[in-house]
Parts: sequence; structure tokens; C-alpha cells
Amino acid sequence: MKINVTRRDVFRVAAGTAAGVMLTPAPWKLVDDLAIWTQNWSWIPVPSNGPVTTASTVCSLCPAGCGLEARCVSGIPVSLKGREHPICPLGQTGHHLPFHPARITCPVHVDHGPVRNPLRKVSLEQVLNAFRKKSESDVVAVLDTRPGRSMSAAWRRFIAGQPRGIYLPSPNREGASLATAESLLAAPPETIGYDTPNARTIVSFGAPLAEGWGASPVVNRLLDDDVRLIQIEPVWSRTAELADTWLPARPGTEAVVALAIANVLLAELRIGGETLAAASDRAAYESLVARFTPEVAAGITGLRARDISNAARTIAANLPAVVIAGEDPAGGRLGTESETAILGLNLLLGSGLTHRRPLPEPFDGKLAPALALATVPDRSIRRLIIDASAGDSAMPWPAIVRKLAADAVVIALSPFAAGTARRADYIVPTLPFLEAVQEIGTAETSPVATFTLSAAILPPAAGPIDPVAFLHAIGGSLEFSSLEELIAARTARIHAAGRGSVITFGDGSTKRIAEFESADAMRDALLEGGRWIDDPIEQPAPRAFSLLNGSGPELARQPAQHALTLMPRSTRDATASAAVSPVVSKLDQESALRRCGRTAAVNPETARKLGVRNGKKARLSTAMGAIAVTIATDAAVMPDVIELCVGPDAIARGEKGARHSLNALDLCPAAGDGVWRTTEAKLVVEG
Amino acid sequence: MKTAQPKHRYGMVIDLDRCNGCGACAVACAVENNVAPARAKTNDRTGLTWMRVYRANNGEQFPDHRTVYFPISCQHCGEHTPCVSVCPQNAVDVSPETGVVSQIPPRCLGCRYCMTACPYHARYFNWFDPVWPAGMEKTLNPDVSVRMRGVVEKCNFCHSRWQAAKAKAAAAGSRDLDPADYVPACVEACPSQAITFGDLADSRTPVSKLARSRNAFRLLEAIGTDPKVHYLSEREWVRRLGDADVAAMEPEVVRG
Repeated sequence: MKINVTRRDVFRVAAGTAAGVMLTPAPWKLVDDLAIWTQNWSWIPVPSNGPVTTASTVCSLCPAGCGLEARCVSGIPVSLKGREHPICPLGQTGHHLPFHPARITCPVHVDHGPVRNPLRKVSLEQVLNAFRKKSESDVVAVLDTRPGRSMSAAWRRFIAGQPRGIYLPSPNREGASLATAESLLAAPPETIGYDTPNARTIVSFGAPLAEGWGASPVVNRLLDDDVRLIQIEPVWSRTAELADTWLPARPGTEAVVALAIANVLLAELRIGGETLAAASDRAAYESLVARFTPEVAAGITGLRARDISNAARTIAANLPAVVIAGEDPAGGRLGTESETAILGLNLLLGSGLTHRRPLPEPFDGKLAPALALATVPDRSIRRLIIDASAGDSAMPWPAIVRKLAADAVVIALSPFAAGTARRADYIVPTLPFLEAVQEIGTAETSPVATFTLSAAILPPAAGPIDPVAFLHAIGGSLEFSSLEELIAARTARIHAAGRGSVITFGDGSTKRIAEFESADAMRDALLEGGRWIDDPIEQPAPRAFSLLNGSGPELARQPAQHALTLMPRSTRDATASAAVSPVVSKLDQESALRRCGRTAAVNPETARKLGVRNGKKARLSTAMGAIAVTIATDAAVMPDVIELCVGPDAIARGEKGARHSLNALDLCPAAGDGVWRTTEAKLVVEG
Repeated sequence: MKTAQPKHRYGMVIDLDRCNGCGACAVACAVENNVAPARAKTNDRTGLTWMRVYRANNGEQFPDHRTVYFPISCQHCGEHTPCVSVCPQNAVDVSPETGVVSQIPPRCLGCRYCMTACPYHARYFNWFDPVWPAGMEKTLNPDVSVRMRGVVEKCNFCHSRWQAAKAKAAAAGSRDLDPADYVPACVEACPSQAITFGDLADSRTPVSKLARSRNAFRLLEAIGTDPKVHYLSEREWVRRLGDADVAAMEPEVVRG
């Protein structure tokens, strides 16, 4: 049989085959594989494998000093988790920081002009020459972003040896308000803490307790059924979320709330009379408090009179109580007068403030006193060293600039070209968390002295300068050659004192100091995650004290109210480190959980009044300058208040090509007493 | 499509009265599961957050305004799992052993039908290649593969931790794993211990008891997906939010 294959037949077979193939998995598999092939590129990282080990250390990124367990692969930590309790996002991602894009390993000069590459590598000698160019008689100052460390003592000794030296602790450190308690209790602030562990009522004037504030995470304590939390602040915060009572008092009226609570305690509940009898200014206090009845206070603070009375009754029914004058990680202190009225409540209640021993310094000798920034004459500092080697602290930079002479040179020590260090002329690199042994001393709010060490898990990178070596290079004399030696000396001093116990990490057991045969053995225990806790001291008998400390006339005045008040706010995990892991973008960029630094939150009613709308651009200005912001209307914000978050900027998050920009604190002029919690502001629609 | 009942039904109960929106769960999840950080242009629509914390409120004005934080991950639907039904690639799998709904990235074609079908907006698409800053890739978790651009990903209750717990149990000669060995990263990281995790099929477990409590509710219960993530709140207005669309939870919040 003859078969004639025509061209048409060929086409038919081809078409049939093509159609048939489409009914088989082959083409779909091909598409699938092609898709996978085009999705997998050599630059997509593959997690490394290797021996898995665990190491223990302590987080030194903020003063809380949480115990950590690091899971390591080939010696490199791949995760950090809390040992005793869960930890904050900053601590969880601390192992990313040694690899952060903002990290520097050689000294750099920072060009503050509009240039493409603001960081230029320089030698250490060039940095030192810039420092030495100034005359010996010029004022030299050290700004310590993490006071209380062994290195802080070294700086204070260096400053004490200078003809015109100034030692400045960060104006925005936790517990700074306890300096006010010094005058009430006649005890230095480094020996006073809040007795939070024993309190049944915590009255917090703006302390972000659930946002990492304080000696140790207190979230679980706040959730205890037998603890009452009264949160007094104008904005619904994460701490207010957990509070039993939230009292949104107008900004600047915190003292009035405190006096009104005192009024109810004394007049209605008959609490505090005995204490009052011992006060040197009893008559003045009584007459001042009598003026601020709940009804009067309600008119000033915007609170309901019954809410103030109920708060006082809650306190009275749940003694002992602690009354905290909080600092905001961005907004700072409330101010001396407010703090006097607030801390005085503790004296009235006979609880709250507790005495502790100071931590031994690593060496003997004269130390320069810690001065408040506000007491430094304007334009007086010609050489400023910012020690941000152990962490950062958010502060209004214009307040620092005001103290600098026109030709001042500013040198920062920091592992990162970010945060406060980025404002300096030169940055000298230091080793970051996990690459060097760091110490975590007593948190300023702690009721008892504590000390622990953060062990290095990673090998140190080449290039960074030891802060002690830098101190030697600028002419400081110290018998130690490295920071590690200096810290070891303090550890030895604690051991020599023979007081307290070390809670060991391994089994949670407690070992008395005397049981350690040497300081080295104690140091080893601390490096393995142990924590030294001092023995409690017998509280001194109350002496003659003042409840007003001369602040009566200021407290009697009506607080100034602004038409529109700017309140910079933040959380500890957003400001304690100059750099944060890029993964924190999950909170502020990839979701709306946290507001970015350029989002101004206002009450919808205020927005309507000002003619600004949700999501629209506006211009926020104060006497210090202006920035562009995006409006977020939020009914949780008090009317006539602008809440502006201070958080990690693009540089701190490690964004490529990020440039430095102004933040909320740049708009805040620090007042005469160094307080910038509230600032008068204007908000207008842009364009 | 009705799903066969698995042997275990792993799920969680989140106490919204304890959650204060710290975000530790979201960050812990990203670290554990090698979820890449955002690129400069990434926003909340293109970001990857297997665990996302939404903010909702009672609708009142200041000072009676109150907020609640809703941590929302994949709800691991037990019935009529929408993402399973629509996937043309069988890239979504419901484990017959644990009831966990898992995404299989190498099978995924990136059609995003599952994202459209998911009533909880708990699935995320990889718009970009996953990139970490130079050197930071050394800190990736070796137990979890990095997903490629063009695929969908989501919470799988830390599958690698379940595998590790199973391996540990097997090494000890047991078929049942110790509940303490299988704890997802978000549960472990929560500072206020708001999240309880465990086997819902076992009526003796704390998670099972909490899920049956008076104040427990689930999201969009009316649509019948039988989610294995339960929420708790003593506040009635919070419980009512369970029937609200999660995408509408933050009408007031905008991105800066």
C-alpha cells in the first residue's frame, strides 16, 4: 500500500504532537523548572553549616543587662535568646551588629556638608593631631553616653587631671531624675534606687516600664495580679496598655497631679501625716498641697477629679507603693520641679525610694564630678570626646552644640558611624557587643548594686582602638593598658570587698563572694553569665528632709500651656544602640507597629483644627527649625499634642546610601534646666 | 475541600490582654526563619512579616480611646483551608501528623492565588531577592532555607523546630516528642508570655484549656475555616474585633 505523505499530514502530526504534549506534565514541568532556575541565583545566601554550640553571655546593649544564650554555628552566633526571661527586639538581633553596614574598623573624618561620601578614612595620628592642635588651657569635655562604667571612672580621672576639664554624663539617662532625690534624701543619686520589687502599687509618671525602662524587665511584674500600675502620661503607650489605670494628664502638669494625689492622701485618707511632721518645710508643703484639691487639679491637668481621687485611694489600699519620675528614652526628664513633687510622694508614703551601696570604682584617686549639661557655659568647650563605645543615648544635639566653641573639635568613640557619634568630626572605632568583654554595672534605678560581664563570643576584628589605649594616646595616665584590664580591676575590687553573692548561670545557684577563691574565679563565673548582687543594706533612719527643696514658688505657678506641644518619644530598644539590626524593619517599615521618625501622630480633632489630614505631608516647626513629616491621626494622642518618635534612622538601620537627616530631638531646645520633654511647635500643610 | 483530621492539632492561644505590642515575636520569627530585612523601597504591602502585629482600637475618642495589639500569623486553618484549595501547584501542604499548614517554596510558581484566598492576609510574596548586608548572612539559621524571589511564604509554626524535636525524641527512643522541645520562636520570645502553644487535640494541654475558655475567640469564625490560632481577651469590644477584616484594623495609621 502506498502512503502519500502530504505536507498537510506533516502539519497535522506536528499539531497533534504539540497538542498531545500539552496534555502531558512535560511542558508544565519545564515552566516550573525554568521558574525555579530563574529564581535561584548565586547571590542568594545559603546558611552555613558547621558544629552547633551554645555560649552564654550578657547583653550590654542597654543598662538592663539581660542574660543571653547564644546558639552558634562554627563559632558564629545565629540566634540570641534570653536566659532568665525573653528579651527585646534589640537584644534578639544583637548578633547582627558586628556585621552592620554602619560599622567602622578604622578612624574616619565626618564631613557634615552635602557631599556624596561623608565618611573619609583617616589615621589615628590625624585624629590625635586634631585633638592636640587645641591649647592645653582650652576646656576639654567628655560626654559619656553610658555612665557608671569602669571606663567612666577612667574618664573622670582624666578630666580631674585637666586644668579645665568637664565630665558630662548623658543628659538623657535612666534614673537621671534621681538626682532630684539627692536633695530630698541627702544622699548621692548613685546610692538611691526605686524599690520596685517590693511595691504593690507602681505609680509611674511617664516611665516606659513595659518598654524596657528600669533595672530589669518588669513586664511580668506588671502583669502580676497583686501589683497595681497607675500610668500618668498624655499618650496611650505600651505601658499604659498594661496599666490598671491610665491618667492622661496634660504635658507639663505632672507636678499638679502629684500634689493633688498628696492632697487626697493627707486630707481624705490621713496618710503621710507622720512623715510630714519630720519635713523641714512642713508648713509650706501643707499649704501648697491644700491648694491643689482634685477639683482644682482637674482644671489644670485635664483629668477628671474623681480619677485623681481614685488613684490616691488605689495607692492607699495597696501599700507599699513606689512613685517613679520617669525619663523617656527620647523625651528625657520631666524637670526638677515636677520631679520634686513626684519623688516627694515616696517620702509621704514612707516607701518607694531605697538606699544602696555604690559599686566600687576600679582604682583609687580623685574623680571629676559629673556635671549637668545645663550648668556648662555656652560656647566654652573646645575639645569634646563622646564616649559612645558601650552604647548610645538619644539627646538633643543642638543643646550640645550650644556648649561648643566655634572651632571646637568633636571626637567620638563608637563601633558605628551612626547615632550620636555621627555628629562628631572624627569617629574612632571601638569593638562592638560580642567582640569585646563589656561590663554592665548597676542600673541607676536599681534598689541594689549589681555587676556582671558580657563575654566576647566573636573574635575581635582588626582595626578598632581600645578606649583605654585612646585615653593614653591623648595624654591620660592610667595604670591599665586595656579596657579588659580595667574591668578586671573593678571585678577584683568587688571580690575584695567580700560582700554579696553571684547567681551562677549553670544551675541558678547562689554562691557567696567568700566562696570564690580568687577574683579570677569570680570573673570567670561572671563571664559564664553569672551576676553579682550586693547584700541589701540597712536603710538609714529618716533624717530631716525637705519635701519641696525650695521649689514651692515654681510649683505654685500654673504650668505654661502651649497651643501645640511637640513630645519626642521612643523606646529603649530604639535608642540604646547607635545601630540596630536591619531586621527591625519588620516593626517600622514592613508593618505599621512602630511609627517612623518622620511620622507625626496627632489627635483627629487637632488635625481637623489645623487643617492637616491623615497620610498627608506637613511641616513641623519649632524655634529650632523645621522638618517635613507625614501626619498620622491617632485618637490615642491627646488633643493639641504632637507625638514624634525618635528611632533608628536609615543609617542606623543599615540602608544603602542612607544620608543623615534631622530628627525630632533636633527641634527641641533644652530649657535652662536641661529639660526638653515638651516644646512649643507649629504644624502646617506642606505646599 | 475538607481536610482529614491529623493526629495532633498544633495551635496557639494569644492573650491580647497581655500583649503590649513590643514586636519581639515579629523579630524573633524573622531571625529564626531567615526572613530577609526590608529593602529601601519596601513598605507594609511588599514586606515579609510572617508574624505581624496589628493595632486596633475601640473606636472611642480621647481619653476613652483604647488600643489592642493583634499578633497575626498564618491561622493554620483546619477546615476548607482556602490556600490549599486554590494552589495549582500543590505547593501548600497540610501535615497529616501535625495539622500545620506549610508552604513549599520550590513548588510555588508565584501566582499568588493563595494570597488572594487567605482571609487573614497572612501570606507574603517575595518581591525581591533576599539580601542581607555583607557578612550578616553568616548569622543565618542553618535549619531553615532562604526562599527565592517570586514565591509565597508564611508562618509554619517553626517547622524546623518541630523536626529537631522529633529527631531528639527519636534519638531517645520515643515516638512522642516532649512539648517543651517544640516551641515556636514567637512563643519563646514573648516578654509578657502572651502566647501559649501546644496540641489542641489533647484536652489536657494548657493551650487546649485556654482555647476552650469563656474569653477565647478566633478570627472570622463565621467563614468556617477552623483556624488553630485562638485569641483571648476579657474585653468584649476586643472579642467583637474577631469578626472584623484585619486589613481594616489600622484605618488611622499611615506609614512615614
